[in-house]
Amino acid sequence: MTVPDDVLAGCRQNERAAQERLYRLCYEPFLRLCLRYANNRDDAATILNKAFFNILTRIGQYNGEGALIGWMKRIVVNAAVDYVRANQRFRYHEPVENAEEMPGQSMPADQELTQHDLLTMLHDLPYTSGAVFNLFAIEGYAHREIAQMLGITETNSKWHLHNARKLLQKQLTDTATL
Amino acid sequence: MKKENQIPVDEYFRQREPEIPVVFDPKHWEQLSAALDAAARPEPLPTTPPRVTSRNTKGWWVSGIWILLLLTSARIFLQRTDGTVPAPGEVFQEQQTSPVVPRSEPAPTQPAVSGASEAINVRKEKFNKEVPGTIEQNQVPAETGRVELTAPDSTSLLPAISPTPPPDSLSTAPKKKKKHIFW
Repeated sequence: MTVPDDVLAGCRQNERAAQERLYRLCYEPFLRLCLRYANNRDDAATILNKAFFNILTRIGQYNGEGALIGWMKRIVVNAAVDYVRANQRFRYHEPVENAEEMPGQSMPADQELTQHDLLTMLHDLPYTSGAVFNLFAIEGYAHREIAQMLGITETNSKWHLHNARKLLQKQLTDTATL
Repeated sequence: MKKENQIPVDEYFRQREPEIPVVFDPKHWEQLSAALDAAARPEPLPTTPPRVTSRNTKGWWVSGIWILLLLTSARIFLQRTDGTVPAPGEVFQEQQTSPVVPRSEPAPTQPAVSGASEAINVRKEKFNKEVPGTIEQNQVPAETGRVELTAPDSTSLLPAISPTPPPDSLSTAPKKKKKHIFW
């Protein structure tokens, strides 16, 4: 996905038509990202609009280094992390050494799950564990970055990732056996 | 050695994440557009005067309560010192009908003018008993000019004393007592 130059130039000039084109272009991938962090579609849309408000009002700060999409995605992820931190209900820690080893071969290749089930499994995770899983496994952030973003330690981030994987694996196995 | 991000669960979700169905909702863009319009619009300067808040009116309430307390305490003080506290209308009537008498002096039972005439009558009777038909010059001062001498055959040699009271009598209106409300 690339942003046309005229759209970027129009957004820099604060043209509403160019802003709408950029919004429509990025709506689906960014709303999907927000859906993984939020509990419902309304909250996801709120996160997206908050992020896009920051994007469109600060687009003059984008200096052209790197892809515009990457710069925008970073802002959307930050908005989603703010949402997670604002709604963080509990935080617990368990030493990584005590966690069980992940079974590697229990993933059925032909498993058929609807996208609703996929989102439901992500939303069933504890808040912090789900956020760490999204940031690490899907967005590709390192534990050090995740720890800074969520205000936790690196060890805590690793434990949350392990916890999320264990819970997701269990849910997938249960669904496959049904 | 397997890398940490090559866990099958991660791969599974990473691959299937783009399949999550999302449909564009124009309502979301309208909301964002309205927010952008509101942010671009400069805030108007307040033209209306600031509202009178409860903090401003609070001072009036406090001063009113203080005045009420002072008046009540003054009324209680007067009640304890005088014994009775007349109603405001009664106080006004008293001041108009009868003068206020100082508490240290005994209140006169009758008006001052009648007291003086009584003294004169007693003196007259005494004089009639002692010297009937005569009069001594030293008994009645000449400077008063109110004693009428008559012939010796006349039985009524009583001095005609005018009912005007002497200047040092109690007929002068007593001064009103100043009531000090505040101490």
